[in-house]
Amino acid sequence: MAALTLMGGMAVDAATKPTAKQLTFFEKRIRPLLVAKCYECHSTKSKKVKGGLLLDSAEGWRAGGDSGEAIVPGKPEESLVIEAVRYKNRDMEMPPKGKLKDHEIVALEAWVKMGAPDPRMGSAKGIKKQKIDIEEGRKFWSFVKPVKGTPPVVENDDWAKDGISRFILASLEEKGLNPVGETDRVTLIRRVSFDLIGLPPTPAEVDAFVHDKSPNAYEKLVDRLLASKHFGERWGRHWLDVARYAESTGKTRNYPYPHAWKYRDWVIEAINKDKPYDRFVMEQVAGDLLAGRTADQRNSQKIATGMFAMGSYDLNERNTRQFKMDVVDEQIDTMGRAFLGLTLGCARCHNHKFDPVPTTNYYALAGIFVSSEAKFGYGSRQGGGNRMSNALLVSLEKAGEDNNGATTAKNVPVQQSLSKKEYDRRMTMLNAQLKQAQRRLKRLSNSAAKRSKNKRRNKNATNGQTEQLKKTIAGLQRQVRSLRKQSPQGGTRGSGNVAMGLAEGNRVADVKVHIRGEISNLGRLVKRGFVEVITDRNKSTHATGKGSGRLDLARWLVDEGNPLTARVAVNRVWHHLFGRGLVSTVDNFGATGSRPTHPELLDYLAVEFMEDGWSMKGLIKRITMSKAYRMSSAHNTKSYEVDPDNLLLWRMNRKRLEVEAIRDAMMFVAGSLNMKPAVASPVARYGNGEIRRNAQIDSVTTGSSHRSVYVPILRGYEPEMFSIFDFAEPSEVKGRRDITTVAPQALFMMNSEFAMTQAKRAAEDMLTRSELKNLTRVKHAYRNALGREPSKAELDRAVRYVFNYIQSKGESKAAVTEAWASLYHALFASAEFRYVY
Amino acid sequence: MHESGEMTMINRRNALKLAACGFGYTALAGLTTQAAGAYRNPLAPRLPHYAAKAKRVIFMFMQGGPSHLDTFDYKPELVRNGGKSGGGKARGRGRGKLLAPVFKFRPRGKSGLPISDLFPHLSSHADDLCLINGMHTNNPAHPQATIMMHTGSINFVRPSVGSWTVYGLGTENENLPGFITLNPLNRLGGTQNYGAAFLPAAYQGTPVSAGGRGSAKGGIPNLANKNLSVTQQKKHLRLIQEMNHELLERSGVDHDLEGIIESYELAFRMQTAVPHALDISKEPEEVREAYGVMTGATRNFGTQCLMARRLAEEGVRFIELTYNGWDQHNRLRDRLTSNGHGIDQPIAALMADLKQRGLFEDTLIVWGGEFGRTPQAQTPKGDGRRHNNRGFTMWMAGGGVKGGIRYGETDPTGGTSVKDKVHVHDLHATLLHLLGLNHEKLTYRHAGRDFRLTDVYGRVVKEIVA
Repeated sequence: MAALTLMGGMAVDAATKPTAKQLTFFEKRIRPLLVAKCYECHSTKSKKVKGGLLLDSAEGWRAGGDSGEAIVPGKPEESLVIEAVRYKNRDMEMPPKGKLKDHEIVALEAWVKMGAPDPRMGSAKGIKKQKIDIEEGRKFWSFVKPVKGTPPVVENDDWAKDGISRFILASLEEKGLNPVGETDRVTLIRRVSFDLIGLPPTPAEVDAFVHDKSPNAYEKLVDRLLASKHFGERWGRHWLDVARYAESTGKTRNYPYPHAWKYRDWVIEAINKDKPYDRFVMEQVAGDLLAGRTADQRNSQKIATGMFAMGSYDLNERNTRQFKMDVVDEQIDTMGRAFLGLTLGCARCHNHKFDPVPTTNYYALAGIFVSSEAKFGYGSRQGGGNRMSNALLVSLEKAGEDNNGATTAKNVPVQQSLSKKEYDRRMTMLNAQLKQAQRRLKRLSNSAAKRSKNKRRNKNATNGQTEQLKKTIAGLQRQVRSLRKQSPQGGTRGSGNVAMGLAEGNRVADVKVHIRGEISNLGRLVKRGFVEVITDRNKSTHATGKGSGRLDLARWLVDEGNPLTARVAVNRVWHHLFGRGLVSTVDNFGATGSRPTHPELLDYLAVEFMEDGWSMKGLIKRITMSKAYRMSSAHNTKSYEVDPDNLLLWRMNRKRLEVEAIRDAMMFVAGSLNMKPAVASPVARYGNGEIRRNAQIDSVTTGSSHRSVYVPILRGYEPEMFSIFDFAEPSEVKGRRDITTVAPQALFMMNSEFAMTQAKRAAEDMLTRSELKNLTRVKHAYRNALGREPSKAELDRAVRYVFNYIQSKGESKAAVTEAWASLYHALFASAEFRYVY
Repeated sequence: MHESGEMTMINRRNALKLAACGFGYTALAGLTTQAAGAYRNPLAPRLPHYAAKAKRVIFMFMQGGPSHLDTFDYKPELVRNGGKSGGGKARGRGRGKLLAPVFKFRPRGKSGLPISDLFPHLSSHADDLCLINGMHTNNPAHPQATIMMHTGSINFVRPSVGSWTVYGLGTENENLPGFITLNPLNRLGGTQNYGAAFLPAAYQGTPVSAGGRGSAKGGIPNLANKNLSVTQQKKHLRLIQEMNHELLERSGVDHDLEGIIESYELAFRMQTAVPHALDISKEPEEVREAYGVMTGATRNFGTQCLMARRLAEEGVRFIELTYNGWDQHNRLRDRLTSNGHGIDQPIAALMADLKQRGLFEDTLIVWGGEFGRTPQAQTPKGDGRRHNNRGFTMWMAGGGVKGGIRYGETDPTGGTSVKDKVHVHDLHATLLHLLGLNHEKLTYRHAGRDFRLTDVYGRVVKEIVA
């Protein structure tokens, strides 16, 4: 012990050369200890190096392990190795087989205190496998910048004129396969209509297309659909799946987001206007930091950042720091998967296990988001609790006179608003009247209850009074509602001049690595920046600009050197048009994702997309115009044997419609679909309370007559039909929905109120058309519902079915409607209705 | 209406279907166009790999991470050392002071199995319980651990344990789904916890609401048609299925479409079978009383347990029940009391009922949450416990397990499993084993390789097999 105290005073810097005394100490006390107790798991000769830490060379421990710096020379209290051998941390007790003897621990402490002199020269190369090699990582297919190759030469030159189809054909020919023929026009118009606008073609549109003899008939059709305002509703919804759009917090405390709809409308409008995808990305990441000429434009850009403020957050979290890091994690994960197809969230606690993304890259991004603020209307449990507050939202500017572009906020038809004084006066008066009436009603029912006990009989009189009062109350409530619409602040929740979105934080700072993701276990400070492996070698991986660095991040995402953004985007489009992405795991382009079936085609599309100014409509047009897209979906025995999953695309995939398209198509056919965009969202009506299953919630989520994209989505309370038909879980990025076939879907089609109502409306509509007789009615129904004529056998069967039905019901007028409704119901329920061929 | 020639092609199942609802005849039209025998009902019963005692599973999932230290893992040292330093460092999971169990443990039954006072009713079945005290799992966060418990994987979407079971064994009642989950979670992975992932959709769990929290009314939605009589509905369905079969003929091979056709057949049969199976009002009052269906606190789980017994009787292969709210970061005693009260009597009643009906022997009951809790208090003065994935307890009873034993151990204060550890993969392997399935042989080829519930892990805990 005496020797130890003596040595203790001789602390040296690790870099200086150890003295002879120190070396002796090392050789006598430390080296044998390390060899005996540590080398089994922490040397280059270990079977498996544990914790990424090497202790058999100075270089080894200086490099540190997965948990960070292992030994801080001179500072035993900060050295993880010392902490571990002391056995004070349950999560890290070393050696695991048994605690060292006290004198051994003291020796190690002394050695660290003196600066950990270590003469061992070995290299730490054994550790290379544990550390991420960025340069090696860059070789992975998706991290290599896409290159636009020339479409290959194909044998069947006539079949494929366009580049896309040539790539497809080349890989088919390689396997000795032939593409099936082109599909017929009736099928094609139904396919392209559903694909582009999510609605079936009307019989008139089918006829027009079938009879259009002009050489560019199909192109005209595609152009018309791309120009339709319903295009944005269809493709906007696709993006909302990716943006995990929802109108409540979900998780432990489920509170509404009454302003989320503004982001929804922003997406729809951006897609309808064909906002270039790079700009689309940038506005969502940093719209608040981008310049805008008009107030409307600036507002719109702020709304765009809502993407990063509408996640599913745990409002119950008490620790504000933890809450912040969880929000940031959700943002990084969303950004990674949505734009880059990278599961960056995996690097929160440790280096990514599969992809070359070290934790330091994660915390470089985290610094950017920590320096920003997600304003979604609530704080964590400690930071303001669960009361919605406009202060926790992004304020929008008043739309100025200089506006020349419509913004979503402006599209809300706000009634003439009143002055605050007048509004308050009227509201106070109405509320007083309402309260009075309600009190009277209560008194009345109380006394009625008493009377009925006493068996007195002036029930009728009371009933009359009650009815009258109820009417009065309903009237007053109506007045209150309509008055709210004239509120000087925009009235009902959800239409105030605020939005969900991002703002720069009060404090801009880099963050430290959180070892194992724990907020209390901090490692080294990381400069704010990006994911290294996909950053151009010549460019900085750091955020260099002012503020949080979000604007740099936005630019980095759409930098032409970024190998992922364009690839991921075009792959998403391909997925929706062909039913499966060229990379089938559309949200994961990393090592655990699938490899592209047609890598050259993917690159070709990606580069062309960028060259074309990132135009989504341009991309969709090129694909839908291709010969490959126009293939039939017919079966072919020979090709099926070789490629049963149709990976090589020897035919068009048969696609199941998503729930939105099923719902919209049923209502469209029935004539009950309101084709106008919905104004705001009924969630605004829900009030301040936490969301629980009750009648009100059902009325909020169902009963909309608008297109499905406007139906409010509350986390955990998706409308029944949506859950049954595989709606995307709105708490995570979901670019590819599940496709299940389960009995509840059949039950929904057979028995739901919705299916029966739509069938009845379709029948009623048809029966008002006097020109139709039995046979023509069947044709009309088939053409309306399935887009095609019935066969002779189908015609006969349908007529027989309807006839028998009417007969069995006594041939009344009601029976006639019911019978035809039943036929429509069967058409809606048929598998054919749910497929696109 | 059908040709006699077609009749000869009828296999057993189609004969049943024909008899069952009378619109199934059209199935033949589709089937005869394919190679005979090519189509196989995915839910048809299959033989296990080897003879087994358990034929079905009732999995009682206790969401939130119930504290093993106050229920089934008796730690005298923790009792003695409450309030003392937890032995951990200032930061990290082991931080803080030890919190003594908030309930007293007593030896129960002939076996003397120690169970806390939280479960007076269940304690009367102590000699049937196999406490697995050395459980551990990978992740101390609810979603991950919940998904792990259900699918054996955290990072990837994998079939749930119920789906694997039905895939392995099929189901004994073709009028009911083979895998039913009562009041499932709609968060923490939600449908993923009973999803079939890459297995055919037929193996997906069917969620059924048993009333109670978060659900408006019981049963499966849209189970009855308000407008049509059964005869009318049969005609209607026949029309739909004729269209579907014609489509299948036009399409050539299409397994997805076959699935839709199958889903209509099952849906129709479910319309009568499900209400019957779930209708607990048919049970005698004393039975409902015994399960606690009539009283507020026990209504939720009592209803689930009683439904579970009826479903077990009907031959449903995998039945999952869910009880929420075991995440006691604070008010441990009060909230455990309320939870214990909610499930104790119902579970005891179920076990007694199964025994009485001779079903206990071949029904495997599995009880547990996604993880356990720390011996240390949440905060220095806290009255709750933190998450703990390193040591917790689950228990099994019935079909093929030894009763009245404790298997595995946590350290003296109950924080970490140290002896005879059982990982979730081991639990899954054992569960399948008890059903007669070898977890290494129950595979499904997907994306170019064979997948298992237990991935590359899993040890059958032979020591607890009777």
